[in-house]
Amino acid sequence: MPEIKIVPLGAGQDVGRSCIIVSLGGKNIMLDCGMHMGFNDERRFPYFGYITGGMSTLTEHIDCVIISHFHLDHCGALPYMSEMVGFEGPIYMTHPTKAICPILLEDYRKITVDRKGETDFFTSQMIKDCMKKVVAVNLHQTIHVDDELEIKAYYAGHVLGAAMFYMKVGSDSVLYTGDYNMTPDRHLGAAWVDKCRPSLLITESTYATTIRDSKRCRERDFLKKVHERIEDGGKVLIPVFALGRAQELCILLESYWDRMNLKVPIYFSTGLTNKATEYYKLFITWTNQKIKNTFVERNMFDFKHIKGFNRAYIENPGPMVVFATPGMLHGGLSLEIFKKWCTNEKNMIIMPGYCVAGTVGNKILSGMRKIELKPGQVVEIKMQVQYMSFSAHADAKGIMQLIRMCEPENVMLVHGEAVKMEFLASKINKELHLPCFKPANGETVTITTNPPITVDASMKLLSKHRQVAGTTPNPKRIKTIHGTVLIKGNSMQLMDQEEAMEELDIPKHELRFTSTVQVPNIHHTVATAELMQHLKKSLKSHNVSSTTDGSILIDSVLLRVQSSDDEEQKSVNVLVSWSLHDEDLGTNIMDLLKVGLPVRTS
Amino acid sequence: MAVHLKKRAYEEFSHVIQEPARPQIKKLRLTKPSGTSSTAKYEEYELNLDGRSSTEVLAILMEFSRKFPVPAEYVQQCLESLIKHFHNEKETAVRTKIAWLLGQLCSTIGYYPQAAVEKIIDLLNIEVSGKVLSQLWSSILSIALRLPQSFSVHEKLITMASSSLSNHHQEVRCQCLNVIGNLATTKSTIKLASEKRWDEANVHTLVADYFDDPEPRVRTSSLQALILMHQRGEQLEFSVYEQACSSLNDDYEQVRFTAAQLVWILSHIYPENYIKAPFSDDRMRLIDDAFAKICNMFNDSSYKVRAEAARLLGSMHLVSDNFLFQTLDKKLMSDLRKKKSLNEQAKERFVEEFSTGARWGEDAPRESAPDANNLMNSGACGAFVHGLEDEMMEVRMAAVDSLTELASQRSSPSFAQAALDFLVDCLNDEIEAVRLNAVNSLHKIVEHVTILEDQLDNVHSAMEDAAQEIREGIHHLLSSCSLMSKACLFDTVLMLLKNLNKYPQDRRSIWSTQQKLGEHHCNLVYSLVPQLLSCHPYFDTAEPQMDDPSYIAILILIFNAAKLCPSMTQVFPEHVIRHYQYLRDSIPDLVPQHLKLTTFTAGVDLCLQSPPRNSDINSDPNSFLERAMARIKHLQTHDSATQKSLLDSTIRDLRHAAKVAPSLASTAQCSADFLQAQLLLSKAVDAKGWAGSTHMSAQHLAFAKPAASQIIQLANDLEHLYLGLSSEEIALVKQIRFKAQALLFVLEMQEITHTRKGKISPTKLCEDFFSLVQEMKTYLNDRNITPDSFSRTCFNELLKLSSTRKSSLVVKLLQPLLMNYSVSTVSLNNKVIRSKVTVHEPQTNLDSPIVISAGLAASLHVDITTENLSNPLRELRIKVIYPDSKEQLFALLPTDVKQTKPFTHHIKSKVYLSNTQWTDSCAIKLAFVKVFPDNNISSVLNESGSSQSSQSVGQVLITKPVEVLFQPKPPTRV
Repeated sequence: MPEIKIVPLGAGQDVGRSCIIVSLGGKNIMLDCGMHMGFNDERRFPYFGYITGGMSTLTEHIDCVIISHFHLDHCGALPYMSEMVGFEGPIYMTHPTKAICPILLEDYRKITVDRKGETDFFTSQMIKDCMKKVVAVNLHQTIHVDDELEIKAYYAGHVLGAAMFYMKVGSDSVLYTGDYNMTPDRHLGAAWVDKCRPSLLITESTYATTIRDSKRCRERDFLKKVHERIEDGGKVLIPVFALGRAQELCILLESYWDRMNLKVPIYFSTGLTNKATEYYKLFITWTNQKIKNTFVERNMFDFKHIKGFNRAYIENPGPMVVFATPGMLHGGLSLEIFKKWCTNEKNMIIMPGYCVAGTVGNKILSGMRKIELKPGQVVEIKMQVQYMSFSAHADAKGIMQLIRMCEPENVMLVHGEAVKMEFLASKINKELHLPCFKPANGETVTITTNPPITVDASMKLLSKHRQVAGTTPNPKRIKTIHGTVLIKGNSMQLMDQEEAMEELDIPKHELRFTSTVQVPNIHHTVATAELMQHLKKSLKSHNVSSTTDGSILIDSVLLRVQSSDDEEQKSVNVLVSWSLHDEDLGTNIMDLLKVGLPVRTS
Repeated sequence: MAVHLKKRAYEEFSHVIQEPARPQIKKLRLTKPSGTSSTAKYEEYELNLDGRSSTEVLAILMEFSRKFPVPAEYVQQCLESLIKHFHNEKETAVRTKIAWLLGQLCSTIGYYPQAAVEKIIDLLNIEVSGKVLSQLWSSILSIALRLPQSFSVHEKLITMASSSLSNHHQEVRCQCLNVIGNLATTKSTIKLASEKRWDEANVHTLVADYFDDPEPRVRTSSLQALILMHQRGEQLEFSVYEQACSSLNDDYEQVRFTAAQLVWILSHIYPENYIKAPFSDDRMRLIDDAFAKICNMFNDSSYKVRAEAARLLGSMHLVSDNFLFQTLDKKLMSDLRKKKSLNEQAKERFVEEFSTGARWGEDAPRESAPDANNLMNSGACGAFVHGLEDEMMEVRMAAVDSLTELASQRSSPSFAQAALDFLVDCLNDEIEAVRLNAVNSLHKIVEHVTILEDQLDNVHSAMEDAAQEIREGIHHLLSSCSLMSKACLFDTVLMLLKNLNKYPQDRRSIWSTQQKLGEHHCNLVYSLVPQLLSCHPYFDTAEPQMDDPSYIAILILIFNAAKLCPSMTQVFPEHVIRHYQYLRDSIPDLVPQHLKLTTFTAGVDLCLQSPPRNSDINSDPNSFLERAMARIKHLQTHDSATQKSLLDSTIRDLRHAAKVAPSLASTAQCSADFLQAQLLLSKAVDAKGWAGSTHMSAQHLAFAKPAASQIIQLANDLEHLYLGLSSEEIALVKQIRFKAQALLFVLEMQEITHTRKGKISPTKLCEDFFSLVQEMKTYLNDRNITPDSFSRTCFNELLKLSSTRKSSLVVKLLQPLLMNYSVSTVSLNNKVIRSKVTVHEPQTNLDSPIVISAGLAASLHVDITTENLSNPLRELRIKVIYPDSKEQLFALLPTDVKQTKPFTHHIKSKVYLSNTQWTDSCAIKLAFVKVFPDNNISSVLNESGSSQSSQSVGQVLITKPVEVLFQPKPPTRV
């Protein structure tokens, strides 16, 4: 039995550091290669030693790497993996991901090396070298990695260029979703997949226990809260990932400012974002209906109200709205602004998405009001803390919807918390009746598949069968074919008996069963006629006829009434003879005869 | 003699003109082919296909198909040669083409394909190629549909189609299913020769079996066949429901699309049938089950299917409440789960297994849910929530429509109240069309519900929308909704005023909103009066400006509330009472007329009486009209002087009635116009004027000519500006105009003879008049109306003269006829309505000119409401009249016109003013005219005030022109 083996090196019952190794039909594929936001030591990268055993490079072990989208927890370890551990094979990602990914990696490198002063980290050159190994793919384009492995990308929503990947070797296939979103937002559409029926679906499950309210409700709440604060003269801080949610919220605020004619400044921490927003303007085909339809008149990413941010603005008086990176308050500008503003109760921080355990964001969301920002320095937080789930991950309903859309045989949950996965897994089991796995990091899951066995059928047999089948207009009736399976080497052939015998040069033997039944309650003289009548009545679908020598022929079954030993002539002996391929009919007739003819009322 | 000679010359001249004018050439062209057709034409259509190669044949056939349509008499021959060739042809492509041609030929108009159909059906038996067969079937179907009465053919076809369903070629199966769908009845059964096991098969189940065909196109066709049968009025059986439901999960979009329609149809036929609920022994109503299943289609991967599902849901009115409410919540409600016992049913409605994700940390997993079976697929929950936030606008639109329909259909307002939130949220949609749709939808359900404060916030924010249509939609919405509280009302008023400030062009719609708000919430307004009028208990505040639109808006609100709640007038400050008097007269339609106001200074009740409008006419307008018309009923019995004075007074009465009683304005005015035309005519044909001396006749001419023109114009008005006149009445009007034209003709002729010179030659005049007569005659004949004596004599006498057409003779004949004219009366019942245009913008304003550099164009915004115009886009034009009496007509654009009520349209358009000639400010007139097709407008005889500008269109003025001041500045050269 063929098997699919999956080992999550990261994202197994965890969020961050996505990295899943799939062995599919003898091919090893690495799905995503991310880093973990919560750690600053070697734990931030997946443990590639698991694959290599510390002996060689990855190239021998991995056939290809697939990156679903540009978030660092999905691609942050890529230069480390390809340049420092060593991988020469192809890396697949979509065009927008390829364009934006190096910007984010470079930013990440700068923060780690320049600001935190780490050594032994990948360099800019490494990022460039790594990107040279990338093969960009288009949506719905089937790429043949080698003779056996093919991959195909589907739209995933989530962020610009996010894709789900379908991998197939022979009859086994895996669909990896990466992060995806089933509800469209202000700038992206919803994830879409056809009924590809993979053997295994690996899906993220960040919001395994959530069914969100309507998107419009959330938007309304968000706008209302922001509006209230700025009318009150407060400042609003929105920590975001540089790309993704940030653009959605920008479009949302921008159009709201437009409509409400507000003059309060909105700032966006500059740097990499400017460059990346350029790419958003370019990849219009990846956005939603509205932006696609209107970009000719006005590109929605050309913001009117949103300006670049300068560190000096932090101290500015008066209301303002600031988008700052990073999204989980684990460092950088957003943390810096947070430190300055958190003591004023007029201000507000809106956390628009998920925060990994261990980050400041996670702490304040859990309700901690006193936080040790630096060792020994405890700050009391007075500003309002709001959580708005703008995170573009599918909720439980979306996950179920995707499962229904692609109809997999098995489901595996990754990229989520263990307890929540447990809950969703039970739901999937119960509602969709599918086996559901949720391996921890380093745990191997083996899935056996039932591959269909393909048999070549001979034309002769098929055309013969078609003639038989063609007589019925009912397509629902299951049609059986009698034939011979001939195994020659690796290939199997289904052919007609005669054909097979001819090919193998075997003479034909006919096997006939002959039996005598005593039929009660029937007179010798009228036996043949009455039997004939009875059989005609009960075997309507068969051809019942009599031969010249007084026997009855039912298709190929022969019936002959024999003279009985019974003196009183109350019963007759009937000889029944049938060949092997009419076994069913033969036994059927035997049973009929054993019961006897129905007793006449006269 | 000279005159005589001249006449002869004219005669000859006219002779010369008419010779070429007769379209002889045309006739020749027409006769030429028809004369030689019987031989030449058949050759043209003859098909010589024998002995040619397949490619040649194909080329010939292609050529042949370009000659369509073939005359009916040759069809049979063509068919025969085609059928003959079909038997011999080896190439399938050619046979397919022939099969197609057979179908096309048989549908020739005038050809009855009964004879051919048998032969073509025979072709089915010999054909083996799938492609040809499918084409043959589709041709045969089109032939069979042309023979609705030949049941035997239909029967035969159905039987053949049923047995051909087993064909290997999918298109043959598709076509056969199509044939069955189009011809079979669901009751009919079929004997299938080849089928051993079944004796008879019901067509219905037979078709339903193909829901499972391996080929998706065949599956679609089989579903469509059933839908077709349903559309033809056949009763579908209940048994197909389950099968159709299983097709909802098909892999192919088109199959799912069609299956959803079929499920929807079945849910309408058998709404109350019970079917087994999934996973339990309970039973549920079919409509509920179908509803749930269609809800589930909102998860479909194809947006077309989603949009169709959203569309279908709207008409499933019979669905149970709990299923309906489930469409608004994404989580499964407890009452749609079947628990093992009643005790286990949770107290709260929503099973809170899942968190909403609104609060951080809330999403920790709960204990596992009680073991339950779902009646509804959990994916189907919250269908409308999904639909309204769908990626594609098409789906969102359909969802908004359906949600509205379901909400307004329910007798209890609870669903409408629940749906309100979602519709209000749609006001925030990114696409304008969806927002507009949401506004209009809200308006439909708003009468069922009260708007809460937070919902109102959203409604208000939508008022800032840049699109005027949406803002007006919101105004309209606000004017019909009921508000929760005082705060709501105050916010609304403030928002409206803010809106007015931002978009001054919304003034009218905001004012009328304020009026409605005042009427609906008089008690809330009462409590707000001090705030709204900014009264202060001790200090007198500054008196607001009377021409401030927002102040007027507030006053409108308050006065309308005061109408229903008179006690609030006590708190009005002094100036408000003064302003009331002003507003009552300046905007009478927005301010109530009979408020009793008390002034403090006078200390006495100062009952401000409205102007004497409520005279006795208002009490019974119809009887007044009748009385007025009764006076002139027996007009004929009086002598002419009495007649005239009687008419005069009646016209005066009617005109006055039209002014003061709006309910009979149209009828009164129409009658008055009609009488006026007659009066004028009778004055103009006064015998004294004709008979007198040259001087007298000159005097008469001076009166009669403009009178005739005026009659023509009045008649035009009568004919075109009023809706509801019967054809007899129109004929009467037309005959009056005809008389006026005759009069004009006579006068012109007289002028020519008297002065020996005229603008136009008498022959031309005469010709024009004759064509008029002819036209009049055909008009009356077409409508079977007996002409009056004047017209009849004209037709009889004049048309005899036509060969000679001596104009003097015509005049001699007409003059006495005209002099015998007597006034006829008509009594109109009060069903006539006059076309009306109300101009909101621009207003006549000669103080502030529109300034523009000369040579550039200034756009002038025009905002009008038309009433009683059936199609303003076609009928209405905006006419700009410059001071140099240059005229320009502006047509409307389709986007300008919006129908608000039947026969009422709101029009917003732009006209472009431009001038290079002068640089002084000058008044430009803007008139609204109704245009109508008119053939002989170029004639002098049709002369009416303003109708010579363009060819073949007549115009009548609907309202008085509006004047605007226009000042082109001299271009500044740098």
